Amino acid sequence: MGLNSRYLRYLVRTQPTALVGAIIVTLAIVLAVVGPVIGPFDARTAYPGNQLQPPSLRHLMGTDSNGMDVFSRVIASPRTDLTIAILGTLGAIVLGVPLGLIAGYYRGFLSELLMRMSDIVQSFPVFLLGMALVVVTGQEIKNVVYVVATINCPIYVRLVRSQVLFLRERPFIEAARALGGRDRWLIREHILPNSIGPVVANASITIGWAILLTAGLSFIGAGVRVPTPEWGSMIAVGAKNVYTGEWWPSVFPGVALAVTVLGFALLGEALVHVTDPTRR
Amino acid sequence: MSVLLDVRDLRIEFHTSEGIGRAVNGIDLSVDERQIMGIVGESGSGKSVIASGLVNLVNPPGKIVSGTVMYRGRDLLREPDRSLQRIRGREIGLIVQNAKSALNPLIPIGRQLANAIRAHGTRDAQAAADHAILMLEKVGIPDPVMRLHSYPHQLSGGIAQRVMIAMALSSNPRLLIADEPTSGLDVTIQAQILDLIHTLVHELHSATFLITRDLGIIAQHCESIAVLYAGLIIEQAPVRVFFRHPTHPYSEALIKSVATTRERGRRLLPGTSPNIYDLPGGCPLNPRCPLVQPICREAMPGLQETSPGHFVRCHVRALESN
Amino acid sequence: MRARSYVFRRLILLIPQVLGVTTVVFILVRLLPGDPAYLIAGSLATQDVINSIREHLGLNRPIWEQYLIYLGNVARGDLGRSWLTSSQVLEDVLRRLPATLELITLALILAFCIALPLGMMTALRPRGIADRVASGYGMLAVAMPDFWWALILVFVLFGKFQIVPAPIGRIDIALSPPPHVTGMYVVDSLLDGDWRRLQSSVAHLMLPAFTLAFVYAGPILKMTRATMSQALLGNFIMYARASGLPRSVVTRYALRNALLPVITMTGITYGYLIGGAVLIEQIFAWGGLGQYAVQAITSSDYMAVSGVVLATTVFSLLVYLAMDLLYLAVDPRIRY
Repeated sequence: MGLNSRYLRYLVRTQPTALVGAIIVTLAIVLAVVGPVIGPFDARTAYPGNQLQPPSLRHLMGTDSNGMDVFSRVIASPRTDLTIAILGTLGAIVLGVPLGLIAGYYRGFLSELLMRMSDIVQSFPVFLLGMALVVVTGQEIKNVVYVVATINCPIYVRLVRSQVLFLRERPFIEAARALGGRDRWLIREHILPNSIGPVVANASITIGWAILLTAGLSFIGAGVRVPTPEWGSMIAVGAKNVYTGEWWPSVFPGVALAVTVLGFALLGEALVHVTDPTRR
Repeated sequence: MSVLLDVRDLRIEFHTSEGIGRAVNGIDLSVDERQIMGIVGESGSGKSVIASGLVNLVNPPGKIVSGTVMYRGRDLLREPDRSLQRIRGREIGLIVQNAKSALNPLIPIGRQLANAIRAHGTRDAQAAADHAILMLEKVGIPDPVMRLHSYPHQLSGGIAQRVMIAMALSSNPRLLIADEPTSGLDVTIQAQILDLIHTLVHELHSATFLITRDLGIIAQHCESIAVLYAGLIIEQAPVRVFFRHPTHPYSEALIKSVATTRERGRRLLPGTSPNIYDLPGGCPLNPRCPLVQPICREAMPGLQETSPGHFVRCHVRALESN
Repeated sequence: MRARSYVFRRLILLIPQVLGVTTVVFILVRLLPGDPAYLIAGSLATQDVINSIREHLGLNRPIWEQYLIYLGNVARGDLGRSWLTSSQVLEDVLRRLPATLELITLALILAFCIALPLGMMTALRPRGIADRVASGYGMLAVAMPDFWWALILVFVLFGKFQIVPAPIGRIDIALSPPPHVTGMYVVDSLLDGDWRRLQSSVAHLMLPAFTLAFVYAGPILKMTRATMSQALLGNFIMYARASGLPRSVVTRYALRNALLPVITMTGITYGYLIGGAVLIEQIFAWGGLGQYAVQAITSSDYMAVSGVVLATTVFSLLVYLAMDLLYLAVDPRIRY
């Protein structure tokens, strides 16, 4: 599947939402890089005496109960959230793909064991597990990354395993084997390239979930700590103010969060649709 | 005998990421009442899509782009779905290959058969059930009352095919479209199924389109034949005339490929079947044809009547016959 | 019959699954920071008291012995004692379970009732207005953080319009809960014939349940749409139409086949929600399992943590089992 222009045009024509998703994702990544720097105020500094100012020209999104400028914090958050989500997803893939290959290619005890372990991880209530793990390991960013990786790992194990099982039966693999191809070479040259498509496509979706998970954990106090800018913890800080009518400290981060996750989800959905091997 | 179904200039395309696939490129076909017509072609010839095209059931990414299918004064390609629904099944029956995947896996076959019978006019549930048993007997299924409760995956390929035949013929349709009814079945079962179809359509006075890859089947069961290549009919004739005087170079090669032993080892036609996304200009056979002339690369030949009732689409053969 | 052996195998499988979960919980809890003996004894206790508590808790024994003791306890239903609440963990869990169950069950039913018809309709009429709206909603609902949405709804419906009661619990503060039968206030009020309590508990239940339903209907909707449209393009649907079956029958055929993955997804969502509703529980002060879990985790109440995680995981496992059995009942290909 080459990336020629005709193919891209077909992609855009059938999946216009992919374009929207790609734009949002790009914006988020850009903010992750420059966000903390380009804000009008420092994202980690509180300005007491300036609390709960409604949105104005000076404070585009108002200030929160600690006197911090909401806008600067909103655009500084992607660095935190995206870092955790992307690194965590990468971790899940780096761990999950080889395990999935093993589970799919080598039948027997090892494969069964891997699948059972995968099942067990997946049967835990995801949120509680995440919470417990973060508290256990300490509330630092790197621990949240490990947690995201662990929780999402089984997804990729399963994904790759089912791909491998599907491909094993294909004539070209049988032919390659009959020609004496060694297992490791077969996996590297044939099976891996064919399995990668769905993995990459799902990665975008996983990143979206990971951002939500991070935000949720931070909201409840089991994730990123204040004053690190993070959408979830911002929503938590502003929660009590919502009842008294000061909506801006919670609403803006929430919108940013939803739009970003949406962007990743849209992109991911389009990629999944396009790399789905059963459509060939 | 009058014409039952008349197809004019049918064109079907597939719009996919690989471009536009021209599967059917202007087909004219007609079948008379009670006539059995065979349509033969390889993969890529378009025959697989014709069956669904005839009843206006082409699913995306396929699309019927032009043509008419006249049935009893109405164009099936332009009728609303409601009136089509009354014609399908009841007056035009369909049999496809791989019966097990054509039946709903979650519902016992007896109920599916009864549903079809009721859709075709029999209101009463009991009458429908009785008719279902009758049809199962008719298609030669042993122990029909027990079979009513079987699920499609429990049936063998041959039995499943018989069930489908029962469904298709349950309402005495005037036309039966049989799309590769025996592909995937054991050779002995194939013969049985074909004989069954032949007997039944004869008994019910139905016309038949028999679509297949197998020339032998057509030789045995059909009265006339149309040969498909690259979405076009390249030869059409009564069966006996065809087998005695195959005129189009492709037809000749096709017949020779069935012949045994002595011709082994010789490539009959170089090259491979055409790619519907990238058809050659002029006559579609020109890259492979032993008789190719410059005009073949430039102009599409029309169907010419080289002898009464015998039509051929070939510049060279047309010239010869004049 | 294959079905019977399948059910048997599936039930047997539950044992190693629960065992595996218990083991992981045991390991997890060992890693919690804080010395449990110290926490239980309190900061003023002497070293002797702490030592005797350690002895009592068996913390001085080798790890594998502790593991076996733990397993034995769990098998007997003894999940230990929470140092925070001073009651048996099992009791705590059972006391809070009905609140969460009430919430997530209603939420799921609502979600299903929204998502299924919408999904079906849009699959039957692709590219219509309903389809665009539904697919937009599906995408949005999946991306939306449920806790944020809850806050917005509270702000709008309670703060601005006062349509719903304040988000402080399951029933009006002035009212005491209905007599305990199931622990679910709505059910119990109904059983007691008490209209005031019924009205109050339903009113308080509405917003949190609806919030959850709104968000979690999204994936169910997307799944229904996807499986339904795929089913409609399937071989046997094409054949059914070619056989002249009326639209209603064809739709029924497609729905039956499309329903299975949707049911699975609903089950998975249900299993997820028992832990996943925690954020909503916090916001609405629901007093359910989620809140208990948060408390336990943040105060290193290690028996409570293990108890809750164990309970919720077993619940998920049972839900998945129920899904598998349902599949079995519906799909004859597995049965025979």
